[in-house]
Amino acid sequence: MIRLLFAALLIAFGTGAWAHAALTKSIPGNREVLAASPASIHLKFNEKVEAKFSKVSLEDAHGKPVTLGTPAVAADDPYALQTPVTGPLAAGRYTVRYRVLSQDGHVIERSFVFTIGTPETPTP
Amino acid sequence: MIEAYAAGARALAALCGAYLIGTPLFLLRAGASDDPAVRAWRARLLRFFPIAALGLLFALLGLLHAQASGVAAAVADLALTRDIASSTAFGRIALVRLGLALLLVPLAIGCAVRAGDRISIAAVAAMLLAAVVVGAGPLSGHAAGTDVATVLVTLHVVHVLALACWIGGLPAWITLARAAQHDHDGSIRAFAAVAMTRFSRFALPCMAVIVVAGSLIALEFVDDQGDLLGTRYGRLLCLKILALLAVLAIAHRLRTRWLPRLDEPADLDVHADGVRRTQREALFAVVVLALGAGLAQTTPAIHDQPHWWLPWRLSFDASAEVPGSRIAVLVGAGLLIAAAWWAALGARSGRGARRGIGVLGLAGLGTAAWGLSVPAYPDTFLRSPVPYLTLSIDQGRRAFAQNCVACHGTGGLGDGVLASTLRRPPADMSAPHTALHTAGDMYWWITHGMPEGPMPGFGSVLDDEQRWDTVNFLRVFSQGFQARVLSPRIVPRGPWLGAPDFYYATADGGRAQLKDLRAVRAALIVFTVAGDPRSLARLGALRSRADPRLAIVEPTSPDVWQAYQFLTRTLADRGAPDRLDLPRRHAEFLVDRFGYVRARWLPEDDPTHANDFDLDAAVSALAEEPEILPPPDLHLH
Repeated sequence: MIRLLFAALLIAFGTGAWAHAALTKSIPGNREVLAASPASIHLKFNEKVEAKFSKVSLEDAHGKPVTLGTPAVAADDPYALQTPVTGPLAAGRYTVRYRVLSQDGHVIERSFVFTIGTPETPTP
Repeated sequence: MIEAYAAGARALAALCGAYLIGTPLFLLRAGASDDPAVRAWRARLLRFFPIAALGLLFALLGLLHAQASGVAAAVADLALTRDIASSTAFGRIALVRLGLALLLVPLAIGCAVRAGDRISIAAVAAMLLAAVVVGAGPLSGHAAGTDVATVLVTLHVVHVLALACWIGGLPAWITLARAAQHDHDGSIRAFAAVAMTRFSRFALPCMAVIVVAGSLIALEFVDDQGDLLGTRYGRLLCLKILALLAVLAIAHRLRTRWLPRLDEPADLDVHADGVRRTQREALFAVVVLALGAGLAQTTPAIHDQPHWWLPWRLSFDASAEVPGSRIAVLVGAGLLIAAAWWAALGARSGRGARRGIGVLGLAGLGTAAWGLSVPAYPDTFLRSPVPYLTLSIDQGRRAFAQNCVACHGTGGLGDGVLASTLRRPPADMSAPHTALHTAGDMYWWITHGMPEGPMPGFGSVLDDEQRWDTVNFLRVFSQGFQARVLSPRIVPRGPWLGAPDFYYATADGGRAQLKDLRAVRAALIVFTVAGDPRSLARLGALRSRADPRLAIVEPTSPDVWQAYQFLTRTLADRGAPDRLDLPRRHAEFLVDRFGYVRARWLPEDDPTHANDFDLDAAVSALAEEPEILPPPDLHLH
C-alpha cells in the first residue's frame, strides 16, 4: 500500500532530473575561439533549472562587467538558459559566470571563458 | 551556517517522521492487550504523537526556509520563501509535504486522546500519511537528478522508509523494556517478549533493505577512494557506515543473546540490560539519521573536488611498477584465505581462536594494502576543471616547450640538456607509466615539484589553467605512444583511447563540438592537406557517402591537428626523439559514438590504399556494439 502511494507520487511529480545541475554544453563553448560576437549565451544543463532564480553574468578580460539581457528558458529546450548579449562584444577574452538553482534547491556557481577574434595565444 | 540549518531541519523531520511511522508499526506487530500496564505504555507512546507531528511540520517549514536562504545567500524573508515555494519544483514538493504534515496534526491529536486496547485506525492513517511525507523527500533530493533517476529515487524512498520503520520502533522497544524492568508481577513481561521478538523479526529485513539500498545509492554518488575519503560527502558516508555497523552489532547481540533470555524465568536484570543496549542502539540510530540529513544537504562526492589526506592510495595498476608489490598482494591474499579457512573450520568458537582469526585477517588486509599502495598527494584525486580540449592540449604543449624541455628533452623523452646534471633522471613522458598516474598527481608535481627529486614546482610560473593544460598535453602525449597499435581495423569491443574534444565549423556554416555526436553517431575525423589534390579528393569521396550512422568531421583549427598529431605515431615510426610533434599530413580517425578513437588510417603509410578503412563494415560493427565503457570523461581525473 505504502509503495503504491509512493509510486503514485513518483508518477505525479515525474522523475525528471532533479538534483545538482551540471552544464553539459554551452554556446559559446568553454575556451572556444569565435570569429564574431555571439548574439546570446546559451547554457544547456543536464536537467531543468529554475530560471527565475538563476543569474548569468559576463566579464571582459579586465574583469569589467558586460551588460547582458535577462536569462530565460530557451524556447526549444527546457533544459537550456538563453541570455541575450545586448551589444556586439569587442575582440578579447570573456568570462561567463552563472549561478543557477537546481531543482533540488541547491545552488550551483561555475564559470567558463571564451575568446573573440584571435586564439588565446598563437600556435608556434 | 545555512547548510547546518537545513541539515538540522532535515534531521528533525526524519526523526519525527520515523517516530510517527515506527511507533504504530511496533504497536501493530506487538498485537492487542487489555493489560492495564500495556495500555499505559501504549498511551504514553501515543501521547508524543502530536509533538512529533508538530515537529515534522515545523522541520519542513524550516527546511523550506533554509533552502530559500540558500538561494538568497542570506536569511530569506517571507516573500522570497513564498515565491520559491510557489514557483520552483522543490518548493512545490515542499508545499505538498507541508500540506500533508498539516493534516497529520489533528490525526496525531486524535491518536493521543483515544489510545485504547489496540491501535486505532487514526494511528494507522497517521502512519501512512507520515510515510508519504517522509517518502516524498527523495523526490526532490540528490537521487532524482541522476541518469537512473527512477531506480535511484525508488531505492532512496525504500531506504528512508526502512530506516524510519526500524528507528521509529526503538522508542517503543525501550519504553516497553523499561516497563518490563519494573514489572514485579510479570503481567507485562510475556507481552514484551512476544512484541520484541516480532519486532526483531520485522527489523531484520528492514536492516537488509537499509544496507542494500544505501550501498546502491552510495555507489551512484561516490566514484573512487578519493571521493570516499577526500570529500565531505564521502567522509559523512563513512561515518554513517560506521554508525550503522555499530547499530548492526548491537542489534545482532540483542537478537542472538538477549531476546532468547526473555523466555527464561523472570529476571528483571535481563530487561535492564536490554534497555541499556537498546538505548545505545537508539543513540547510534539518531547519529545515522543525522548523518543521513547531512548527506542530503551535502554536494555529492562525484560533483565535488576531493582533497586527499593520506600519503598513499591504493591502485592495482600503478602499484604493478613497484618491485615486490605483487608478492605482497599474494601474501596478503593468502593470509586472508587462511583466516577465512580457519573461520570456516569452526575454530572461531573460542575467544583465542577468534583473536587469531582477527589478527590473521588484519595482517592479510594490511599486507595486501601495502602491496597495492602508491604515493599520493593532496591533489591526487582532483578532477580537472579544464576540459580535455585540443585548445587546452595545445596550450599545454606550449607550456611544456617553454618550461620543461631543458630537463625532459625537446622530445619529452627525459633526455634534456640538463638531464645528465641531475641526481635523478627526469621522467620519460612517453613511458606507459605516465598514464598510470592520476591527473591530480601530475598537477601536484607541476605545481609543487617532485618530492625527493630535482624537479622544481611551477606554481608561481604557470597559472592554474596552464598547469591543467600541461596535464592534458602530457596525457595525450603519453597515450600517443600507446596508440601506435592503432590501425584501420577496429578491435571489436576494445575501446580505450578517449578522443580529445574540439570545436569545428559545420558544412552549413554553424559551430559544433565533437562531443555533440556522442550517443548519436560515429565520427570520422579527417585532417586534409591544403592544396593536395589526393587529400582533397579523398575528402570529397568521404563527403559523398550518405551514411546516417557516420558523421564526417573536418576540423580546420590548428589546435585540433596539433593535438591529434600526437596520436599518429606508429609501431614503425615513433617520431623524431628530439621533437614533440610529427611531420604527418593527411590523417583520419574513426571515433565511436561513445567518444573513443577506434581506428586510424594514415595514407603516408599506405600509399596504395591497400590497407584503407573498410568503412561500411567498421561503422556497422560500431553501430551494433553496445556501450562497453562509459564515455570518456571530458575532464581528466
